[in-house]
Amino acid sequence: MRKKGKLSNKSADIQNKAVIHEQTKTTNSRKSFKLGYDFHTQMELKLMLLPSVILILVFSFIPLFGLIIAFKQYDPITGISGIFTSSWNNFRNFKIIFHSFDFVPMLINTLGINLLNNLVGVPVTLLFALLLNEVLNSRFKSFIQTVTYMPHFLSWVIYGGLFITLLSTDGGVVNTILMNLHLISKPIQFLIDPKYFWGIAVVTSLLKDLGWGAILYLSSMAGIDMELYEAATIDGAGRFKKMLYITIPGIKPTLMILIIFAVSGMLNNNFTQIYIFQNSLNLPASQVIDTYVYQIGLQQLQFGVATAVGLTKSVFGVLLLVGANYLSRKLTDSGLF
Amino acid sequence: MLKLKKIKMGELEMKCKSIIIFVVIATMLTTSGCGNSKKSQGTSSNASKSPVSTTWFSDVPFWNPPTTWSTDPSTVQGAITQKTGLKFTMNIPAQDADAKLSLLMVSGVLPDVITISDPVAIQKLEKSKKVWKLDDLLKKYDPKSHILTDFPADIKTALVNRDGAWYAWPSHIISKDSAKEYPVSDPYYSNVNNLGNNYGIMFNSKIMSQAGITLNDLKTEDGVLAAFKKVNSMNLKVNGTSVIPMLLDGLTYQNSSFLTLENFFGAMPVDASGNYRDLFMDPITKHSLSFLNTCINNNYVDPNQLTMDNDAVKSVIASGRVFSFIGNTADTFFDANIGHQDGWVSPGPVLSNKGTKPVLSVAQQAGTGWMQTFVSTSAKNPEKIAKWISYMSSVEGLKLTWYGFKGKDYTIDSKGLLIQTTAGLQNTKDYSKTGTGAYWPFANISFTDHVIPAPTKENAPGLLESTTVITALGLSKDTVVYDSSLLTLPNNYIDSNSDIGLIQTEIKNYKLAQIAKVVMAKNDSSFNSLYNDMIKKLKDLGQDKVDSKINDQVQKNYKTYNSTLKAVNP
Amino acid sequence: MNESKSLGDKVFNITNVLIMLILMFLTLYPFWFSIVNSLNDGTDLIRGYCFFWPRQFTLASWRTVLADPSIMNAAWITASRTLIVTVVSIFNTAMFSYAFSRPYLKHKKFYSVLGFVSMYFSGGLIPVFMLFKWLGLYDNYLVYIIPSLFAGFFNVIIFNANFKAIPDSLFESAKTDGANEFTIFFRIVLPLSKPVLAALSVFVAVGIWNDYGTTLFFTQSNFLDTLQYFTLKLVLSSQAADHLKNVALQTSPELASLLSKSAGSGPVTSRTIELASMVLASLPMIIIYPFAQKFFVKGVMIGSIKG
Repeated sequence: MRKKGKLSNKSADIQNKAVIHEQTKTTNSRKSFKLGYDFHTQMELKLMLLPSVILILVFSFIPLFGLIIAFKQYDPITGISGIFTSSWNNFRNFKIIFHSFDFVPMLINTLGINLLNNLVGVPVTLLFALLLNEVLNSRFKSFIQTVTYMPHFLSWVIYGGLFITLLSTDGGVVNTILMNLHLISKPIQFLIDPKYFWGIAVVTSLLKDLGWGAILYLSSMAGIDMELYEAATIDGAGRFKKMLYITIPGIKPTLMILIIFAVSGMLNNNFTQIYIFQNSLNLPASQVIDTYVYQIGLQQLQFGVATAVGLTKSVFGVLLLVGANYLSRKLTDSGLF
Repeated sequence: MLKLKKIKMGELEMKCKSIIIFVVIATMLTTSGCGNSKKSQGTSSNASKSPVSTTWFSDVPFWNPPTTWSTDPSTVQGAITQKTGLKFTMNIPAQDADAKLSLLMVSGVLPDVITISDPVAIQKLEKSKKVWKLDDLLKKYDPKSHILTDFPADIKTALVNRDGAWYAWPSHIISKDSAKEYPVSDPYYSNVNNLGNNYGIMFNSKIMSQAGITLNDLKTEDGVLAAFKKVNSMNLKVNGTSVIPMLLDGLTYQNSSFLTLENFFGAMPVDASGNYRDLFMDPITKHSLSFLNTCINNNYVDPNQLTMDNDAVKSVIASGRVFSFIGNTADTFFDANIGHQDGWVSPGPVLSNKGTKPVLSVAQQAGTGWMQTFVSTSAKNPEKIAKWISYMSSVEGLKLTWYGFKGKDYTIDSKGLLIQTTAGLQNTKDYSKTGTGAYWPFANISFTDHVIPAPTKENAPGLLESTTVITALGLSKDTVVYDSSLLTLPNNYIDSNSDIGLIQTEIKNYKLAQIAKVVMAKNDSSFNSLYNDMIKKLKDLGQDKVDSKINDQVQKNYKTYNSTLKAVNP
Repeated sequence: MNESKSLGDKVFNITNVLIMLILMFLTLYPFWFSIVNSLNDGTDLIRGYCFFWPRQFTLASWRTVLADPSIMNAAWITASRTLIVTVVSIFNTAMFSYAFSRPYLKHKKFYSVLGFVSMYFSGGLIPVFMLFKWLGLYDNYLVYIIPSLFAGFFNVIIFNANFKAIPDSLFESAKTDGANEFTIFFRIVLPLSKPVLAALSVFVAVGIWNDYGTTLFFTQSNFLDTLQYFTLKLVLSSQAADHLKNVALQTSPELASLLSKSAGSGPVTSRTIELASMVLASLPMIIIYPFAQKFFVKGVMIGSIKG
């Protein structure tokens, strides 16, 4: 950092030299400009940061004192002071989650469904965005975007309920078509056989949020310099080459960010979706942590346990985030920031 | 280039500025509007003429009385206001109401009147000591109240046993003592109240006649199985789709269809010596499971039924292709306009081919109702509220709130019974707008059974049909009725957070998946081994600990009520 | 060579269009299904869903939803809240992100920690509730606005990635021209970030539009109900009959007759109300989306590097 040197008040020469030095520095610098470390700029930046910092401190940090509840035997009757005066309960709130004899299968389902969702969802959404980008007619493109984004607004009760009707063995459309095409002789028990559950969860999730998930990719693609495409055309590159060498690298920052966050969210399932498709027969494949917590009657009255579950997930989320970010930097030189 | 950009920026800046201005104005308008309406909601407590605003909270999200309170005296609400000087602001959260109540507790500000149904919330509210004991409230502020003399003593005892003192006004009052005060207008009601049970089996008489099956054929297990076989072999169709021999209650089959079978085959939650042990541990359970298993393996029940939600069940019933349904018959809505034309009948119990007697559990001691209404100690108008409670539970108040206005909504016939007019019936149907029949917390079943005549084939054919079905099990001479009140546990007897509570949760989850496996077993040997494994695992999980804890309370109940339960089929 | 390119191109284009058409069918159909069934007679619907066209067309359910007098107020609350929060929070968060993205910002680690902790850790319902009470936000319109004015650190990360992609030369020349940070932000960064601003605005707007948790826990007056909360209540009360039968006193003829009265007898049932309100509540967001899409247009950066 170049300090504003103490100028000897002797000769204008030296002053001139300083000015020239500064000018040359400006024209010469390429990577980062040293301007900005000065007080004024820092104050301006701080001003820009200020409103959000206040909001975060007030609305996200102050409430953190409530995390203590996870470690205590807290009863809402005791009011706010009760948070501090209730007794410590020896991690009992945490043990409840791990207590189930079924904990390992639950964990496997939770992670498995999420992993599958990401492994399938991210590339497919990306592919969809890429193909959409290639649509020539802009009106049609806009129409496709709107239509594919519509299912996002349907509730899982309705959306899932529709699929359950379609997949039924008793006259459901899917089975009827497959049988008429002679691909199967007996209806497939989609909703009964545990082995189909993960697939159903992933496919329905994908279809519902395809258009929604593509939004960020599309907006990133819009920011890629057209000249790169023009140059590539001149070099004789076809569409696939352009996609591979310009578009994908161009949205790499956004892509990696989304992947990192997907990894860090591995313990969180879409509760409503799983709950809708879950029944006593597919339970070995459909019981996840979120539905288990719901079923053991942990409505919010059990604040201690609910907070404990939330805290555990947060900690794991952060660890996964850090890990994923590290890997991303190592492998693709791009990370969260 | 930068200049060009600067011109475009000018436009953008203008847009930004105009948006910001709009935003600021909008915020000002809305917050000022908010401020205004808040002021207008203020209460004026000096003028006794203007009604006092009282908050009424409930945790029953689907309770839907009219949201805005009308003070027009020609409406039910207005009439209430006229008599009591109170008007109510309803606060019924759409979801997680008990969490909301907890939050209000934490903040120290409770609503004036609180109507809740969740047992844990009830317990917390009572422990908080922030609600009035109703005796104290009435003695202090309405010492002449009819309640102090005519409130059913047995219900009061039950409430005090449950809560330690009389804190809550129970909804849907019905008991021996209340029936003494308001005797039923017709034996129809006492049958339904004392012997009615929604869990049962019903058969479609149209398909029965098509297949040449009579009700007599369906009284035994073997008879029923033979009927299913016959229906299947005849390949009957309704509207082109094949007939379903037996329909289970969809996703809830383990709670309703299965429990119905347990009743038919005589399983009980006590053993031969009267000690409590979980119903599932009764050896007869194996027979109930085996019946289901047989039905699935013989194609009488399609396994897909186990995944159906209630809408799907209703729709299948409505299609007319169901030969029999077993489970919670109310789940099928068969008494509504759709479906009852099929002529549903019930043989009552289906007698086990092992000769065990069917049972039916009926709560013979006074119950504590469904919704519990409390008055907060911080309510500002305890006197008015006390008088309001007295009014809502009085004959005059009950008539108004359940039937409306004499002449307009109902007339009195020669026997002194209340007959609703067409307008009155419509008002009751639209209760969430008119308020007639909307105030469930004060429902008094004995009262309404007393003032209204029994339904007839002309005015309520569906209801009569459903009543015949739901009383079939209780009225059958083979059925042994036992008192389920002897098995009631105090509120939150086992805290779900306690060790025993955790075991219970484990067991519940284990059963959910395992019962499914057992009923889907492909042959006898795998059925047997799965069943045996299940029993063993339940013991390993700690079923015995849970049973013994509950048994402690059951033995106490025996002493309290001076009565014992013993297994009917040891 | 040109011919084979255009043949390959043609095949690609046609295949692409076909794929898009299939996808559109798969995604449009469930919405169409919901509309069709919401326009069907409720009692008839008990027999089973309609798959392509209503069997018994009726506008009764839509009318029931729209005729409720509280819906206008709920719509106004939701619309105003969505607009204000989207505009202000996106602007505020973009500004924060801009500062955060400057490599010469001191103490960046502090802001990162602040951001990540706020993203992942929450004290839960009770402390937030108490905080709102202390601040006077409980049961106040402002509870919909003030806490949401920072759009979340996830958006900061996205903005950050976009701002970092803007070439340094632009900043340099601006600084040389004597611009301060605010000027750079307004005149250079924002205009060049239209796509990401539009995308994140959509996310924020939809999130706020669909939110009902704030209403549920942090308000109690009816006039503060949002559209989603209002429709939730509407659906729940129409499902009253469905729930009543699960209540312990099932045998009571009271409840039985209440059931048959409020249950599916007539053109409007709980299922059609659920469908109608879901469709109606989502329409505004669907209609607005094409306007945001205009910003996903390629070529924002044209010529910005030249000169």
